Amino acid sequence: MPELRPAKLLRVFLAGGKLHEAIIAKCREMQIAGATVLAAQEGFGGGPDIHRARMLSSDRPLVIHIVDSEDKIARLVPEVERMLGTGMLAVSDVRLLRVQK
Amino acid sequence: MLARGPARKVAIYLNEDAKHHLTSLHDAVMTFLMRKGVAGATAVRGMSGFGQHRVLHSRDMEVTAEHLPIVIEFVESAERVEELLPSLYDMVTDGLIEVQDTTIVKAARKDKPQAERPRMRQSGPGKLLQVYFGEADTWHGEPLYDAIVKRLRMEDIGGATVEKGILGYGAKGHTHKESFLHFSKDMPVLISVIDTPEKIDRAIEQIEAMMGDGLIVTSDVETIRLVHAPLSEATSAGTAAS
Repeated sequence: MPELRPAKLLRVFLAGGKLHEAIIAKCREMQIAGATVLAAQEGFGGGPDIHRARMLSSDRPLVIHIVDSEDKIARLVPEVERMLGTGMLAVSDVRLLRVQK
Repeated sequence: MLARGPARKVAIYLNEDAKHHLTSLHDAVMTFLMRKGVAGATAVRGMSGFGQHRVLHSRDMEVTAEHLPIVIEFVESAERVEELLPSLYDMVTDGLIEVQDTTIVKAARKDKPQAERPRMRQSGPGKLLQVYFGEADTWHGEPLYDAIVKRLRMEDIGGATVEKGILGYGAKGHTHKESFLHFSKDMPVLISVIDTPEKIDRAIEQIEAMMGDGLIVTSDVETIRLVHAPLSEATSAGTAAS
C-alpha cells in the first residue's frame, strides 16, 4: 500500500471570465503539485444572479481544484485572494498520493 | 430594504377627488409615506367601485372620471405600520384603511455597478455539501439541478455550483457515459454548496425532499468568502435621513 501523505485541496469558485488562466499561471510559477479547472453548468454566490453556461456567453461559472502540501496552499491562498475580485475559496484536508512514472 | 419574513400590508381605499387641505388626498398620503421612509407604496386607480355613499362609480358613467376609487397599498414591518397608522387615520377623512398580516418572500433591488462597492472578506470554518445524481432527474417537470439551485438561492444559501460529469455510476446501478455514437442525456451531475453548518443542514433538508436516487456528502472546509459589501446598510441609512 503506497503511503498517502496529508495535504490540502483548495477549491476556488469563480463566476466566469478569464481569471482562471492567471491563477493557473501563478500555480505553475509556485510549482504547485496540481491544478484543474472545471467548467460548471450553473452556479450562484455573492450576488443576486444565477450564472448559467449559455452559448455565446462567458458567464459560465468555474471551479479550480488545487492540491499541494499545507504550507504551499497557505502561501498560494493570499496570492489568489489578491488576484480575485470576488469569489469563494475553500480548503479541505485530503490525503495525497502523487503518481509519477 | 425590507427583510424576508412576516410583515404588514396596509390598503387605503379613497375617492380620487377626496381632498386633504389643498391637494388630493391620495397625493397627500403618497407624499406622507415617501417622507416617512416607507419601503414602497403603490397607488392604483380602480375602474369601478362603491363605498359608504352607496353610489356606484364607474369609468363608463363618469366622463370626467373624478370619483373613481383609488387604492394605496404598502408593506412595512409591524412596528413601522403601528407608527404610521395614527397619522393615516387622521388624514383619511373619507375612505377605508385596512391592515393585514403578510409574508415577504423577496425584496430585491438591482445593484449599482459593482466597482463602486468595497470588497468584504469573511473567513472561517464551514461545510461543503456535495450532491450526486443524474442529469435527467427532474422535479415537477424541470431539471432537478436547476430546481435545487433555485431553491437554495431562495433559502439564502451562500452559493452553489453545478458540474456535469463525463462518466460515472452510482445509486441507479447503471453507468452514465457518452460516446461519439451514443449521446446520453443522463450524465452524472454534482452540486457543490458551501456555507455554515446550520445553513448546510437546512440545505440538506430541502434537497433530500426534492431528489430521488442520489448521494449526499458533507465535509469540513476552511472558507474565505470575498464578496461586494452589501448596499443595504448605506441605502437604508440614506432613506432614513431623507
